Amino acid sequence: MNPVTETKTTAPETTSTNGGTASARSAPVSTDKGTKVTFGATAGMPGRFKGNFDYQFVRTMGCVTYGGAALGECYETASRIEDEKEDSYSEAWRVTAERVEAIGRKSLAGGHRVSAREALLRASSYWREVGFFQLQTDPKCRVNWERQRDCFIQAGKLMDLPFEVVNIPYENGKSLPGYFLKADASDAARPTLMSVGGGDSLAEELYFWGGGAAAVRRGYNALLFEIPGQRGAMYSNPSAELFYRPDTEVPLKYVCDWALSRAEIRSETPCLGRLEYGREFCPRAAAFEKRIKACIASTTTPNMQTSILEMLGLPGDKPYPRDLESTLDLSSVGHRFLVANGDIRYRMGVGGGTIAEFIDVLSKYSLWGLQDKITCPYFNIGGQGEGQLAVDGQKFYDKLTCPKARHIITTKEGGEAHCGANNQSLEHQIVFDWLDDVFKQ
Amino acid sequence: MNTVIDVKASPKAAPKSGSLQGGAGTAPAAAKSTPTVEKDTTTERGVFNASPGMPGIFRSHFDFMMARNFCAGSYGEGGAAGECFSTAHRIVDRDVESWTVAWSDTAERVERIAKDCLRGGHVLSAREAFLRASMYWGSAFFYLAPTDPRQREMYMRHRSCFRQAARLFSPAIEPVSIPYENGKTLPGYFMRAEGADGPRPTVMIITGGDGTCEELYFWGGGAAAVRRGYNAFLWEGPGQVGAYALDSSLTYRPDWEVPTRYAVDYVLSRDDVDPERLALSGHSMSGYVVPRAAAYEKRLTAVIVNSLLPEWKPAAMVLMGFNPGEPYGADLESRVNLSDMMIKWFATQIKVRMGNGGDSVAAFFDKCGAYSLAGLEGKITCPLLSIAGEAEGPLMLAMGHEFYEKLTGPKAEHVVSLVEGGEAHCTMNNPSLKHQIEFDWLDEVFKKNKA
Repeated sequence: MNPVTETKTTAPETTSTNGGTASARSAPVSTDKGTKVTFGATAGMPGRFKGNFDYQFVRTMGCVTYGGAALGECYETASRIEDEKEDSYSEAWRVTAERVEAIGRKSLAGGHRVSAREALLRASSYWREVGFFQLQTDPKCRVNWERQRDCFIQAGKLMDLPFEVVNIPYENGKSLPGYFLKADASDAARPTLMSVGGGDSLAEELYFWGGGAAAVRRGYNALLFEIPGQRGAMYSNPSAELFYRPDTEVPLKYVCDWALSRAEIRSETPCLGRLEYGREFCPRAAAFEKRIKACIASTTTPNMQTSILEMLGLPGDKPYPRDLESTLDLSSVGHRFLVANGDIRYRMGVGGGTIAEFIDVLSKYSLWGLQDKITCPYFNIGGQGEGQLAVDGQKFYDKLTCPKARHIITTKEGGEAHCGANNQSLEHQIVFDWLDDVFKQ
Repeated sequence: MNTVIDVKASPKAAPKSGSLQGGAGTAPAAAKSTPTVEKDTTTERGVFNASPGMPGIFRSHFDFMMARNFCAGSYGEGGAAGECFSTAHRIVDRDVESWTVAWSDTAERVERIAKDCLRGGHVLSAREAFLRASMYWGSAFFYLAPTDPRQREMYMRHRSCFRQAARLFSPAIEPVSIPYENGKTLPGYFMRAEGADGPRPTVMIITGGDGTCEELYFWGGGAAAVRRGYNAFLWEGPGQVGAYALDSSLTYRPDWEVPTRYAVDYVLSRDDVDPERLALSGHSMSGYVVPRAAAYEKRLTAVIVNSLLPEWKPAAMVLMGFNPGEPYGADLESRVNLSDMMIKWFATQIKVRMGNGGDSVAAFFDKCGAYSLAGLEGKITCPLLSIAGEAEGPLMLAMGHEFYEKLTGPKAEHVVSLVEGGEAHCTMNNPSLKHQIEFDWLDEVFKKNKA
């Protein structure tokens, strides 16, 4: 695109700017006491809600880009949501999801394939939101997850391009769920995007903001998948005890094994390559799994403990009190989601413990020490609205010795939200243009 | 939600005057986070009413335009949420200059991304950014009068960005100059259906009084058509924004069957068009144009109207702040409040493009009187789909429905309600839903044509 060389380190570095300036210093501060870091309330955000709902709102609405939402449906739903009330949030989206799914089924019954596909894709997004703030152990959460998955799979089967539901073999007879999307119906070997979400995402939504749809329209294949600890991976196995693990390279080994068993991916063409989204998981995997030919982190999260502490309004580099239950203000939806309601704790395998014990465990999720082990080309994409998270990511990025590039999307560019959620078009343009260039080399 | 065939009763979704938020079918409003909608002349006068499915970022017509930009994103290549929000952040409500500057800044920036991508060989990224830039340029000049030199300049950039994107489609979107009277031409684009070769069903799409054929790619149904195996022909007739900007002698005319005849001549000259499956779809002020054309142009085999507008005059009077029921004298100038954004827009746009820019407001209303469908109810013989939005307000809904009731041909009606999240004028806040309704209906109509 417009790479600017900034050789501060021994490795070549490029900064893609798109005319904006790459700086994360002046991120405005959120009005939500729970989300000062990562989920900033910036100019490119809807401002429809005061707390974390605003991020979720733009995350859903942003799926408009790939047909995963309709503006009027999002706003109409928002008009029925009481801010900071998870039950109201869930119920409002349920009404919309039911209605739009019914449109999809009616169009399908009438043989209107494209209309059916589009409505089912939207319904899938809306079912995701119904379950978003629910607990993994809540039976309703599972039902809502299943409905978002069913809608997505039915939409997938109506797509013009090949769409496969995959179960990637994993340890001890378990499997990891995913989707394989091909750029065309041929068996030609193509560069492939392997995309994985973060702590709160599902394989299905990776079709939208995770780059699935963006990949296939650019001639890349896409493998969207989940790793242990992610909601769908846990629900997809008979025993739900498939918790997060810090050694991401192990699940990634299985994913790469599966990918390389496919003719469409297995090839020694110079275009062979894989990468993932995911914040801490990807760089870690790239450090050990050398079959990965390029790595994209949105956004680089060098230490999960530091980041979560900062999101809770605590210093990331200082000891924290053991009785966080009584010292933290847990009244915001952001804080409840991060630590108080227990969902992420459960999926981390420390469901019964205290908040402090949960934060203890997060220290294992650290990239420090791996900076020299990552050798493939690396792209760090973040947003100005991520505040301190983007700053932390930059510190790690600066130490990388591999070929690397970065782009912190500014508020002016209107894509400053965490994971580029408020501008999927822009994020994918930046990421894939970089990737085009990497694989051309 | 369901398309109702041959409704006899008045539209059940029609809200009571002044109680839009609590209209029939409205879900419990209540939510504390709902922004208070202040009284505003634009958003309660009818047509562009504020409603729950709208962004609520502005209290003026700007809000409708926000939805229009966002919704372009429904086709993967239009508005990006963050770009729209960050642009809105720089706009002062009702301040047209701030609107123009904010959107042209964003348009410039995104157009530059597109050009950089193109230079780097990133074709798909370039196409998407050109399409977004085109939409943003369209927004930038929207409120400018044709007499403002920036209006044409930005229109040309809007057009040029779209044309650069058009070349990057496969097959390419073809720019067309439709031969028209006296050696003149009308602008258009032909989009070939995806999938098999051979003659395909085709939908000819026109905008209303405020848009261009370029943006019909997004909310007009162009992209929606081709992915469903239909050809789309996006075009403009005399008086519409692009046609007039390119040739100011092309002013509105009531006998729209004439320009339609030239457009149909062009479309049927192509061997990839199936003449038995040829639809015309029109929006907003074309709620008059489409039924008028259908009454006389019998090569059309189906028509879609969003929404039915049997008389221009009462609509123009309402939007300019007059009571349509009241007789008016010759001198209305003193009663026209040009500080009102929409009134000024009407006076400097529609009035000018109707060919009486220098005439009085009263003469303008008189001229609007010629745009009437009265007496044509029995002449429309092809199937007609009427779509309207609950937020268009009781006057517009009642006018449209009254005409619909009198139609004697095959017909269907769908008033998109507040709960469906597509209640805005032209279903502007939900093109996905709009196109599902339109094309599912067309599929059925054309199946019968082929049976």
